[in-house]
Amino acid sequence: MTGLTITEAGRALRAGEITAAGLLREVGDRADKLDPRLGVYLTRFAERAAADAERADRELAAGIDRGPLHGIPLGIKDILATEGWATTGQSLVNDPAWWQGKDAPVVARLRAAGAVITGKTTTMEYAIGLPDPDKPFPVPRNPWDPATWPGGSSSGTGAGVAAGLFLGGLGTDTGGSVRIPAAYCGITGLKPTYGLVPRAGCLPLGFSLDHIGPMARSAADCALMLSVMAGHDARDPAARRDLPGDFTAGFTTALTGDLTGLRVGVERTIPAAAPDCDPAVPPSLDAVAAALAAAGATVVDVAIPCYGVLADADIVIMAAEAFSYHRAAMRSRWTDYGRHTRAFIAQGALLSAADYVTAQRARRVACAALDEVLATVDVVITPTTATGAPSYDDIDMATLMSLIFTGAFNSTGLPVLAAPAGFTAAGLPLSVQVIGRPLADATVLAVGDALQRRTTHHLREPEIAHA
Amino acid sequence: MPDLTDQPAVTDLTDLTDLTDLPALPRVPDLELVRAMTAAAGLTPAPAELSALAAAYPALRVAADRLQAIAGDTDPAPVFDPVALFPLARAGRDA
Repeated sequence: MTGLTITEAGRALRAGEITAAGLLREVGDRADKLDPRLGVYLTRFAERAAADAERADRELAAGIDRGPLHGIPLGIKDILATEGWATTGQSLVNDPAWWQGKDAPVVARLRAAGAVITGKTTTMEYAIGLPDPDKPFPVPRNPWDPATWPGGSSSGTGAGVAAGLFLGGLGTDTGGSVRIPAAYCGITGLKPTYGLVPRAGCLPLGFSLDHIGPMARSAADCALMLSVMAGHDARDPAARRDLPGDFTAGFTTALTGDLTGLRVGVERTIPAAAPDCDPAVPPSLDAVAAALAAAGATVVDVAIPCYGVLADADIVIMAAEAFSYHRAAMRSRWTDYGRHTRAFIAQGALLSAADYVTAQRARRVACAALDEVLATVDVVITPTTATGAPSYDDIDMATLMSLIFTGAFNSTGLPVLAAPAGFTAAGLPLSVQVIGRPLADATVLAVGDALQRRTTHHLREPEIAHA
Repeated sequence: MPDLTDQPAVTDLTDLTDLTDLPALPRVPDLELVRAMTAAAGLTPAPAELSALAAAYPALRVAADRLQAIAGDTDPAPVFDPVALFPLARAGRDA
């Protein structure tokens, strides 16, 4: 049963071909073998997960079906609160009493839908920076090449899905932290529309940029997860109240494979401006465009005029908002923070109040410019990153920032799906972003699904998964 | 709305001049600026960290200043909504 998607596992569970307990044992065996090399988990919930899986089997046998996540093993990034574990944010600094040992609403929703939470996954500290090997936490590694970074900050969830340690999981995304590990690990990840998934019980990085999103092998799997995750919760002041009652059903019913009538804009100028773009990236984007055209879409070229403004706004706003949250602790516990974390967040001290407000104002202007583009096309596609996963030997934040194309879209709050789009000559995954109109999460999922009905990149597994 | 057509797609850090309409400021070495600002914020970076922050500072400053030219007279994106901030008071009014 290795390599199953959530969709396939759900079918097999209901057909009696597998059990939730058996599925959990299999992914657990994989974790026993691979986690010491991959650094996916901060902790595993062996007893609770086993009990939940056995309950899922009993319920199915009794005719109780909680839906498509029933009995499915999922991993949770350790900046989201979970019952029975003091969330760390992969930091020495976080208060163990934070969120009082309760599930975040989004985690509670997954549990109520029958999901089996296998454990807490590694992250960059407080969802920013790079791993600091001097701190007492695992260094996450990429299953496609453990000498490379799996991307971040939802590193463990990305690597865990790719290696088959669970079938899906939660990430968070403030500048690309769902989409970057999805890209580097060859899986699918969604940054939903801002406010669609409530963030209560999630350690903040940038209040006006943070999103919680699903990560899994396929767009169809992400749709199943989002159907459970989305919806208002009053504990998040940014959570949307205006969703129609049948809104979440559209995430899965939109997945027909037929894109007839849909207009897709291909944005090539962003990767073209990046230094050292991998030569495999432009043809991979062309191949995605061709696949979407084959699915019935009308494909046209577009240019996003304000990309640099949106990217700059993301950095300025994130640094300012993160410093607002961390300032007190950074004053008293500077060296307890990881070196990359404190290097990024301290930039907030170098910005003025006017810089922050100006960035929010510029963000609004740039969104208006992008709105004009999205009035002419339903979605825009552009690469997620300029390269495959970078080696740990020569990784640095400044270089990385020029090779990822995700942060600009956090400034927009728009739904963005990252989906596998091929491989580099070295065999590392590449990825495409599908950027949609606000609340058109179903559309970006449908585009990703249509792509995945015509390609197999998302089904390939790294060799380590079969070692 | 300001014209965005001339905005580069990606921040070009090779030319740090003429990116905004802000008047030129007296030049203060970045290391001194960063040392002063981190000290004012109560942070205690080591000398090597201060140097790294100073090295990264020009790019951050360009990013922040470039946005000034875009913002025009636009209101901030976050919307202040007193109705949402006073749910108990609203409930009392409606009771």
